[in-house]
Amino acid sequence: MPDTPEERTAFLKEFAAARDDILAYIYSLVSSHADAEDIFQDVSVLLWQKFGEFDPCRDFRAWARKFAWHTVQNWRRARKEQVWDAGVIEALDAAFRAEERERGCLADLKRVLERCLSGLSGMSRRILRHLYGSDMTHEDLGKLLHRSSRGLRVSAHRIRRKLRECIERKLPAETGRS
Amino acid sequence: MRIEDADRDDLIQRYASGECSPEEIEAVGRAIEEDEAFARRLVREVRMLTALRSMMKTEEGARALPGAGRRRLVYAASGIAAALAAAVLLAVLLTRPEARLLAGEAEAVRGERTVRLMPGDPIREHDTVTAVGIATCRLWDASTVKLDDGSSAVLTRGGWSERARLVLRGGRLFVRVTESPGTFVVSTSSGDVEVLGTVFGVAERKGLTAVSIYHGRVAVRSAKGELVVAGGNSAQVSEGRKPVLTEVDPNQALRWARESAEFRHRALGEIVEWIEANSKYRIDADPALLAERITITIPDIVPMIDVIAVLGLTCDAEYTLEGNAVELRRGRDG
Repeated sequence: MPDTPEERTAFLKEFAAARDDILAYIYSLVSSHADAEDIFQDVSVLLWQKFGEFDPCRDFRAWARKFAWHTVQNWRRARKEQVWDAGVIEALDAAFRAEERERGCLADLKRVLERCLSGLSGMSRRILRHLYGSDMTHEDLGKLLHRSSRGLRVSAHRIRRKLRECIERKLPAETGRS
Repeated sequence: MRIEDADRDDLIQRYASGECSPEEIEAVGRAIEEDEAFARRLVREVRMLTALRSMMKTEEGARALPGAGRRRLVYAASGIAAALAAAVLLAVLLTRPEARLLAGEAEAVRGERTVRLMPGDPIREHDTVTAVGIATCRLWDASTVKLDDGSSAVLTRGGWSERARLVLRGGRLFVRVTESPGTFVVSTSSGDVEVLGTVFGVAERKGLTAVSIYHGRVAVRSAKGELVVAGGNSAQVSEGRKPVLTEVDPNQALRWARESAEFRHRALGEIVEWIEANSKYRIDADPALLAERITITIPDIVPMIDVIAVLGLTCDAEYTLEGNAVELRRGRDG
């Protein structure tokens, strides 16, 4: 646990910069954003408690991922769900490291995404806001719009594909990475 | 095993949307381990969705924060605000909203008397209300509570705030909580359910309390511990035990309370009136917009602010929110 004001500042600095990256990692392990946010609370406490063991020369995100992995495994066991073996963690870790090295952290991605979102129509942006900003399900939004949830899913899928393509075009120029 | 490109994309999309079966989740684990391109593609997708959620939540939060646009002004004028505070408090006290029975029938034990409540009748603080059939009450903070036949609850509020506090004495209830200052709490014999902004139901039977949540989160608390339960989940607690998650599907548990309001080819003005009668919101819109005819179904489980947002989507109008006041205007694309 960080004891001194300097350690607490160091923790908060590292944690604030890596917060979204840690959440994305947990999300990749549990497949549900709501579950990921719950688990993230436990991981945050754990990181705070263990920060005294963190070597500042190391990458905070990689260090945090190990605690996130163990927390997810315990969460899975508690729910009597299948736990993934060590080979998966190594492969997933390698993929996250490669993405961060080549495409930057999530803060870089957000800057690019903001520009891509501004290129969407008002309607597309509103659909995203309701699906991802207020956590409405496709079913609820579909019922209210008198559209099938499947139709709405297809729309959301197309909007996300548009965003992915835009990110692919803009990210290398933005981050200076190829 | 290498998954074909199209299947791989579909699997990643469904995994990231939480729609995979346990077998498919296992297949995702295997693919991560065996196929580097799959792992990279999955990581790319979850990173994008995490960034998107974070940005959309910030945007939605800024839109929905009561009085957000005026906050800076209030701070700057804190001196004046202090002088006005007493007058505002007086005005609030003089215009305290009443709790009323909205629909159905109920009996209220008021002191030593029992009175029959019909739609429109006021409910007093500390009344013990027992539903005769299903009864819907609007509370002081504009939250609505639906009591099942024979269910009984004491309705109170927290101190100076209008925030409602319910003590469930048996049976089950369904609540749609409005955004208001203060904490909305439902107490039972086995624990408290503290609301963190949500639509949910509570049932109490023989000392066992079951909670099911549609939207938002609640904290279920007993003397032995606390459990935060998110939308789409259920939990239970009994006296002297820790709250635990259960496998109960909220859709099933709250089926008794579900109903939809359906408007087919009706003027927006009519729908606005219905929203105003069933929530704390007051909606201002252009006359041309109010005359527009639309078709919409409003499920009971959807928070009213989301209903307003969807009305905006349907009419291609933007909404802005300040406190309880909603402005609905034709959007840029319209």
